[in-house]
Formats: sequence, structure tokens, C-alpha cells
Amino acid sequence: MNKKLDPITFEVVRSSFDYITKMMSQTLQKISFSPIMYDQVDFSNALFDDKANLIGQTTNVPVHLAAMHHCVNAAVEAFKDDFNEGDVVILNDPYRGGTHNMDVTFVTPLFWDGKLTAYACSRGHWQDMGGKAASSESPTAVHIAEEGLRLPPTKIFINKEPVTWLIDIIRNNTRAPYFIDGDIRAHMGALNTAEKHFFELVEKYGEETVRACMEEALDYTERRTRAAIAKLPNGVYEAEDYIDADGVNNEAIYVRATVTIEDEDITVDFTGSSPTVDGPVNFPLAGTCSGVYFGLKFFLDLDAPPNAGMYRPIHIIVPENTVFNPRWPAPVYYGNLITSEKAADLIWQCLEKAIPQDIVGMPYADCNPISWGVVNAREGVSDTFGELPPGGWGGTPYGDGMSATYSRHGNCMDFTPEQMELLYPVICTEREFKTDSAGAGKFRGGLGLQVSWKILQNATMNLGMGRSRFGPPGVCGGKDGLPSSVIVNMGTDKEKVIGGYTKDHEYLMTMFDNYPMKAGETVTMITQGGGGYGDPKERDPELVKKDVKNEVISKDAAAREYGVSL
Amino acid sequence: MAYKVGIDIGGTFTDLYAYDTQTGKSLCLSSSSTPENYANGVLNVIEKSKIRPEDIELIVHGTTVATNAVIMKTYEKTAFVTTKGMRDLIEIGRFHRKVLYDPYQQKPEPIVSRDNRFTVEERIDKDGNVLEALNENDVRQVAAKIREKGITSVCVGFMNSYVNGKHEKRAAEILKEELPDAYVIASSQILPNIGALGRFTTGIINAALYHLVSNYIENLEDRLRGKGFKGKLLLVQSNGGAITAELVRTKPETLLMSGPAGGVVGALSIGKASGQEDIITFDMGGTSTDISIIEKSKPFMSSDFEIDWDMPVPIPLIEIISIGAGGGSIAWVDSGGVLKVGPRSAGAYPGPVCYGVGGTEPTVCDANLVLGYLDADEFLDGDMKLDVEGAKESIRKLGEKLGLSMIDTAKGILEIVNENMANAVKEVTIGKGRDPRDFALSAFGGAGSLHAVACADKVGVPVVLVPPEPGNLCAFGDINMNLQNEVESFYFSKLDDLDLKDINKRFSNMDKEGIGLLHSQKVPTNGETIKHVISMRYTGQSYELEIECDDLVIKEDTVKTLAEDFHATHKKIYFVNDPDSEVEITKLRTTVIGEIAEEINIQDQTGEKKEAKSKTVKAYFDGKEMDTPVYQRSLITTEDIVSGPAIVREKKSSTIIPPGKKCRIDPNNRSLIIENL
Repeated sequence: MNKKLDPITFEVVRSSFDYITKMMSQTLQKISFSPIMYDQVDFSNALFDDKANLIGQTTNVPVHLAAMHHCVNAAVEAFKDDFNEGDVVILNDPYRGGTHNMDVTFVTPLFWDGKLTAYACSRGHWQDMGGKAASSESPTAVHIAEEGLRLPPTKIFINKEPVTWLIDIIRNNTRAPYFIDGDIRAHMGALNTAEKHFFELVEKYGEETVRACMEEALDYTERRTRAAIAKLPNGVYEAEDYIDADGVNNEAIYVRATVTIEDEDITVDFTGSSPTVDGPVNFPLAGTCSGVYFGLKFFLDLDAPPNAGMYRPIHIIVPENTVFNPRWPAPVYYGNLITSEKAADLIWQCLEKAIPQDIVGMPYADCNPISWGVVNAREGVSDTFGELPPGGWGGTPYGDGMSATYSRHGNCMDFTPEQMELLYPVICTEREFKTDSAGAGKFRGGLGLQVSWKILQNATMNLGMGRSRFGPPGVCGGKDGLPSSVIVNMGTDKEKVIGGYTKDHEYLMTMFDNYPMKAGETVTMITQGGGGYGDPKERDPELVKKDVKNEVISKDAAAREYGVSL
Repeated sequence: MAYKVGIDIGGTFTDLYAYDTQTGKSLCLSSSSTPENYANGVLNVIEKSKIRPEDIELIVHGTTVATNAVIMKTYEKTAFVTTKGMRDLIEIGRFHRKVLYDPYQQKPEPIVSRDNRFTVEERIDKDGNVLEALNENDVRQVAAKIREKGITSVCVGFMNSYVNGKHEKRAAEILKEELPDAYVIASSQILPNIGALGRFTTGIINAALYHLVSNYIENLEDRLRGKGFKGKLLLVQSNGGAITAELVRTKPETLLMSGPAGGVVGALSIGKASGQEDIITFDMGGTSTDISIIEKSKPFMSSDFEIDWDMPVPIPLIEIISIGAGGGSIAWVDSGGVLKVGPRSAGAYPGPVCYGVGGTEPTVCDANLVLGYLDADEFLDGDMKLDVEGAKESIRKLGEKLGLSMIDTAKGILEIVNENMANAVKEVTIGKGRDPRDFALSAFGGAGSLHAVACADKVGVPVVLVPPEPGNLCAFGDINMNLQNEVESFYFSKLDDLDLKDINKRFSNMDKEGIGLLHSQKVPTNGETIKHVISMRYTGQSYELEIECDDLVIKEDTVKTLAEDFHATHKKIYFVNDPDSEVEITKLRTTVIGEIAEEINIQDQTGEKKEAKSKTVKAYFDGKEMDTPVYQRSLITTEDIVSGPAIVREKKSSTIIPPGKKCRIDPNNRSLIIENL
């Protein structure tokens, strides 16, 4: 503990950092215009010290854990001494701390008595930033330029005045210009909220104490993280896995990781993973680091405040020009989802060897984004909307995995069906659990979904879903979950699998864009079940019977997987 | 004699507050709650009061029967019938997980298990058009399955029924026909709002609670009648209004926050008498603290209620924030060497260390004791002796881990728990654009008055009120209620395109429905009030702000005022707005109030004239030991001014007056008022 501080004052001030970011998020969610922010909660807000170290962050989107930190550093680096009171910098460049072009970050310095004291940062996923496909979701991109407008750190407010030409350029480069002003206002609301509450804190406790508390907050999280690492057995643990495909080539992509635990330090080394690929499953370094941090955090100290102190005992080795550390102009959109989750999966599979008694089956991973674009230039219509239907989580040593729950890298909510129907030309026709999707185990994985929409106007459709070639792995003898797939016009004579395994066992990529949907056609996604934990034969037969009664597993599967005949 | 009686059932005590409308005298007492059948506790406490049941004209009852059923999952087995394809919508929830990083977490069991959820062919679109007709044969087949399972509570919930409830209504009719013994409800009958998850969950909880609440009320009423009670029995709803026992049977979901609502209304009534219209209520018990806001003598309402993770019941109710900080909250040192308090609580068992019934971890209560704020010999009026040495020892041990003395550790425990509560108070004030300096904080519950002044100081609230009998404030609030019901309606229009004739017609129909509900209860009132609230947002947003509409008939000018109020409220809460952006309306609400409450004068209970200062104890303030006089609350006169440091004791609670603060008694209602005079 810092000598100038007593532990009580520290805890009081530190809890205010949590409170401030919480208030920022409340503002952003309640007033934003992009459904993916207000309904699906894909955003993060954070406070940084004057050296641009992450001090406190809201707990919305773990994949922003390190990326926010890199972003603020990029903004500070770009403007150095010219970053003044009332200035706000916008950026989304994945090669400068961004995650993907859709995640737009706002940074402002907080000056107290003319002295730089902190930075506030607000990041949200915007509905569309242009590019090749609606919602900027293009799994077939081979160049980052196809993924939409890429903003380097640029001032969008100077001395509190908006830079209108820049906002005009952004508006001109999106399919959803009508969201832009509202979303900018929402981020500004979040930054204003931070300023107001932060200055109240400084006024009350004094600048020096608050600075000392920011410094101590980092040490504090480091101590807690080290204490948690110390409980893991020392050793070198290896795992390998595959990304289904890159969206351009229908070939599985090899990835591997080595986790070395040495007393209070962990090293994660991705050496040996595939070189940068053609399609957009590459993930720039800042994002890969986020994947490591959130992957580990589940098995370290869950409640330690997320800040830069956590980075200190975790060492990351990622060779350049690999899928985990690409160079411009590699496309990156799905790295944020598929590849960040793969980094976490690799770590969990390493930990299966280190702490088998504590590990859980693999979750469905990714985020299964599906989106549609409806364009009618004659009537000036330009709609883009989408959904993120989740799959199951892995079985655990204590119980079954959660069904249809958003994966580790985020914590998004659904686009509620009636709201979606009210705003867009679509009918949500199905939202049910998929029977027999869960990976079998002593404790089975959670269930995936069967979810369908009828599109009421001609539209283009994009999909970027992983774990369709291989289902989410089980652990400690548990079985893999059901791989994902996507089908059009299900139940009609025009039924066709357009992603995943066909009836003839041919594998089609679940990554495509601009698939043409005719008005009235339906599309069905079957999402992944979670991996199982432990030998299915050890499952309590009563639980098997209950699952059969609830029709989440079939009688056949009960006999085949669990040896329970009914 | 004619008594009005408020009865509130809590986890430990059943409290009664009786007011004699003829003499103006009041009476207040408690007896133990009776979890095996809560009605026993009600009858016991009436008997203990020695009031003859035939002399009671009105009983207003705050009940936990619905709340407990939800927490303990003892509600009725229920069937849910929904649109084909949507069988799992209520269990899938909103995708997100409760804890960000816990790999072992599980979601709560759904209220209706999957095998009791059925689907039928039907579909209505967002405009209310029928896309697919209701397959009545499907409904009859489902009815047969429900009959076979012996289920007698059924909810029907179809997609888009908020715009057109025809299919739901018809399906419910068929189910009633096929299942004459069952209770069948359609979701749009309960809550005709957009949002299938909330509408369905509310309908389901209505069905699941129906028999349970009916039986409870029937049993209670029968037994009261048997004892000679001839008056009206009212229940307290979560909206802070009362409803007759008869009518609430079909609205059991309105009882979910029945208990805490009484406290808020109690604080409101007491505050009014002291001239305080803007109040933060601060109800601190053993495991949690409930905080709510009253502005201009109106509780702040919201529709954000969830009975569990992802189980929204978005009916209008008093917004009460509950945080895990109470007298039993445990203090501990985390792996980073920092002191934390809660959210784990020692509860009543093993309890705080000082209770001496098995607790070994120091709690907030123990910290209060070692700092001299509680009296080891006079706790709960001497009913329980506290173990000071045990409390000191446990805190000393904790302090060793922190490198702090025992006293500094105890002080730190209170500092942190107060900060946690202050942050919650800030969230509902500053976080919602309210200035805490405009409010008074009203402290009640067993521990509220111990922490109130320290907490108010942290937030900048200038005045603290401690109502008389702070432990029984809920029961007092119960008899201060008016009859109240809400009618809501989905209504979608751009503000600029508003069809005045149409919206006025809609409001007028809603008013009629609300007044009809009021009159159907056959309770004589002193007047009726109608209030209109409109939910508004910028086009493109998803969350609305509720704007009160003072003109019951909307005119051109009203639209302008509504827009201005919306922009101003948006700025106040979110620090930004844009008066040039388009505004839209999404929901209308009518609130109908039947006035039955009357002003209650709280009189001096004792009339004794004795020295209020009973003794002087050693207590710590800001780490310094100080001679601290202790006053008996009932003996303080309205002329007295008690200067801090001081402690004011009464039967179930103590109020701490730190140095520099002064405390007096309000002549109007015997509240303690603590401020920087």
C-alpha cells in the first residue's frame, strides 16, 4: 500500500472509479441511437490516469480490456501537448488500438486547475461504418479498406465545439447516417458524465489523493492478480485448435498457444500459429492481448478491478505477421470475435491440463453476427440491422453450462424481437433451444438455439459464424457441442444449407456476405452447443430423464451418449 | 371507535400501526412473524393490540406473500401457451450473463419449465394484422395436455399481442372452456406493452401467484370476519397505492414490492408534515439497504423491475434500489490487502459476533458496538445482551491484516459501508440529474438511523429525518395510502404528427377503465385524481423518459410543453440534448387515485416530563474517544436541542448525532430532525 494512503481512503476513492464508469455506461446506453448499443449493449467506458494507464473500466465488453488502453495511448501519442481541455479525439483504426472499424472510440483529457489529471474514454459499436457489406460485416474482405471508414486519431471536438466537416464525412460514409448525431451525442453524454463525477471526486479528496489512489489501484489489481496466479500449478502447458476458415479460403487455420506458469507470472506464447490469412479473421495485437486477459481472468481473480495493473504479471508473445498479430492491409473485422475467442479457447485448453478439477467445457465462442441490408435507392431506403444469437457455454465441474448466453469477449443482449419487427422489415419466426445441441458430459454443455427470421423485402445477408466445422470442445472426457449451421427456407422445397455441413457432409463456410434474400424468404441459424465436462456415463440418470422430459435431449441421445434407456 | 389499522409483515416482525379516527390517538406494536402461515401473525398482532376487530373500519396490509413465493419459488405450477416458434423465449431471456467473468455461473430456473410450455399456430404482425389465423384445434390439444398434467394456472402470451390481443383473448376463452377449474390469463390483459419477454413474464407471474394470493387473502379475510371485523381489507401494491383484497386477486403481481412500498409512503407522509416534499428514503436492515426518491411528495416510479436475472416485470412501481449493505454485512480483507464490507451478510444466524450465537466474522453491527454507538445492555430494549469483547477481538484480528488499530478498523468498516450506501444515494440523485442538497434523507429500518447522518454528509444532503417508530414506518405508511391503479397503453406517434383527437380518445378510454376499476372496489373516497404520463424519446432511441402531462386534454400548446419538458429532462439527466431532433411517443399511462388517506397527527406518546439525558458513554467520532450523552427519544421535548456528539435511543433503534450536528424534535410529527443548525 502506498505510504501516503490509508487503506480506507483508497477503497472509498477506488470504488468511485467503478461508480463513475458505471454512470457513463448508463448514459450511453439510455440515449444512443444504434440498436447494437442501446439494445445489445456493445460498448465500454473507462477512466485513465494522466499517463494513459487504464484505471477503471465498465464491465460490458471484455475484448475492450486492453484495446481501450491502446486507443487512449494512440490518441495521446498523436496529439501530445496539443490535447487540450474541451478537445475530444475520435478513432477506430484497428491498427492503432481499435478492435474493428465498427468500434468507435472517444477520448478526452480531464484538466483540473489547468493540470492534466486523467482521461475519460467511451467506446461503442456503431451500426454501420460503410465498407463492402451492410453493418460493415464483410467476411470476404481481403483488404481492410473493404471494412469501412478507418479513422486515425482525429479531433472531433475542439474546445467543446464540434468539428462539423469531420462529422459530415462520417455521415457520408455510412449506411445509417441517421444514427450518427445521436450516437456522437451519447458518447459526449458519457464523457460529460465522467467529467462531472470525476471533478466532484477531486474536489472532495484533493488532486493528490486521487492521483495516489489511481496509482495504488494499479498496484492493487496487480497484487490480486499475482495472488491468483500463485495458486495455479507451475508448468508449461500447450494446446492447439483451429479457426474454421477465413471467409475467403475454405481451409481450417491452425493456431496454438503455450502457457507457462511460473510462481506469480504467466507467459502466453502464440508462436507456431498460422501466418496472417487472406480473410478477416486476423486480429491486431491490442485485440489479441485483450483475448489473453479476458481468457485468463475467468480463472484468476474475477472481481479484481479491471485495469492496467492486471497487465503486469501477464506476458504475451505474439510473432509478427501471424493471425494474432497482422500488418496493414490485412482485414480484421472477425478477429475481434472469432480470433479473440480462439485465443481464450487455447488458454482454457492449456488450463485443462493445469487445473482439470476447475476447468469448464469450451463455450460456443465467437458471437455469431448475422446482418441484413435493405436498400431501395428509388425510395431512399437504407436499412441495416442484425442480431447476435448465442450458443451454449461449457459444462462445469459443478453443473450444466448456460444455454444461449453471450460469449466471453462481450456481454451483449438481444435485439428484442418485437422491437426488431417494429423497426425493420422482418418477422422473428423462431427462437427456441436446439434439441441435442449440448456437448454430452457428466455436466453437459448449454444448449444452442434454432432461431429464424422471415425477411419481408429483398435484402442482402451477411454471416460470420465460427465453430461450424468443429463444435466447441468438451473437457475431461466431455463431448464436443453441436457445430453451427445456417439454412434458408427451412421446411419448404427450397430448403438449403448455405453454411456448415450439408446433408452430403460437405462443409460450407459459415462466413459470407451479400447473400441475396428474396422478400418472403426465411433464414435459420443453428448455434453451437457448449462442450461437456466429464464422462457422460457419470451423469446422474435423473438429470438425463429431466432433460428428456424437457425435450432438450432426445431419447436416442439419452441411450447413445449417456447409456440411459427410457 | 373507528380504527384504521396498518399491518406490515417482515421477515422477523409483524408490525401494527393503529389510528383512532375519533380520538386521533395512535398505537404501534409488533409481534413475531409466523412463516408457517403469515395470517396467524396478523391475527396475533391485532389481538395483542387489544383493539376489538369490530371497531376496525379499515385494514391496510403490506404483505410479503407474493415476494416470498417468488424468492422461494413456491408459486403454483403454471403452463404457458405461446406462438409457434417461441417456446423458449422466456427462458432464453436477453442473452447476457449476470457475472462477467464467472465460468461456473448458471441462470435461474424459469418459472414455467420447458415441459409445461406449449405452442400453437397463430401470428399477428407489428401493425396488428393477422398473418396466420389462430389454430383453435391446436389450443384444444394443448388444453388436453394441461388437463392431463393437472395444472390449474395458465398464461397465454402471443407475439405482438400489445397491438392486437384478439388471438390471445380467443385462446384464453377456449382454454377456460376446456379447463373450467383453471385460472387463465392473457398477457395483453395484464400489460399491453411492447416487449414480449416482459409482457409474458408478467402474465406468467400473475398466473403463478393467482391461487396462492387468493388463498392467502381468503383465509385471512375469513378469519378476520370470524373475529368480528366488518370493515374493508386493502392490500398494499408496489406502486405505493392500496387495492381491495377482492380486486388484487386478479393482480397479484402488483404485490411484489408491497412491503417496502409502505415505508416509502410512510416517509412521504411524515416528511410532508415536516414541510419536506423532496426526500431520499433510507431503509437499512440487517442484510440490505433500500433507497428511493420522493419528489414533490410523489414517489419516483419506474418500470425496470426484475424478479430475477432476465425476468422483467415491467409494471409501474416505486423505484427502490436495494444494495447489499446492512447491519449484518461482513467485513473482510481481500487478496489485494484492502478492506471490504459485504455483500455477504451474517444475517440473524450466525449473526454478528456480538450476538454471541455463533458468528465469528466482524460485521457492521460489531463496528457500531465497539465504537460505542450501540449499548451492550440495552440492545432491542435489553432483550439481547451483546458481547463487546468478542466484537473487539474479531475486529482487532481483522485490523492486524491491515496494519490498523482496532478502533481505526471499526471506523474503516463504517466508512466503507457508508461510502457504498452513499454511492447508491448518488446514483439515484446526481446520477439522475438531481441535486442532493435539495433533499432530506429519511432514515428508518433497524439500522437506518445509525448511519443516516454520516451517509447524508458524504452526499451533501443537508437534513436527516428520523420518523417516530422508525422500525414500524411501513405499517404507518400503509394507513396513509390512497387507492391507486394504473392503466397503460402502447401508443406510437411522432410528436409532430400527433393526432390530438386520437390520443385524447385513447386517454379518455384509459381513464374510463381506471375509474371503472376504482369504482368497482366500492370504497368511499374523498375525491378522485387522474394523472397522465407519456413516455417519450428521440426518434432512434430505445429508452424513454416519462413526462408528466398536466393537461388532461391535450391541445396544441400541450404538445409544445411536452416537447420542452422532454428536452429539459433529457439535458438534466444525461447532460446533453438536441431540441432540433425529432421526438416520438411510445406509451401512455393513466393513474387513477381514489383519496382515502387522511392527515394523521402523531402525538407525544408519553406525556412524561423527565430528564431525557439518561447517561454518558464513551463513543468514538473520527477516531477520537469522546464523552457522549445518551438521550431517551420519548423524553426529548420540542424545546430541546441536542448537540452532537450524542446518541438518541429508542426501543428498536439508535440515532447517532456526530459532533457539530444538532438534533431537535419536530412538533408536528415527533420526527427527529438532524442538521447543521
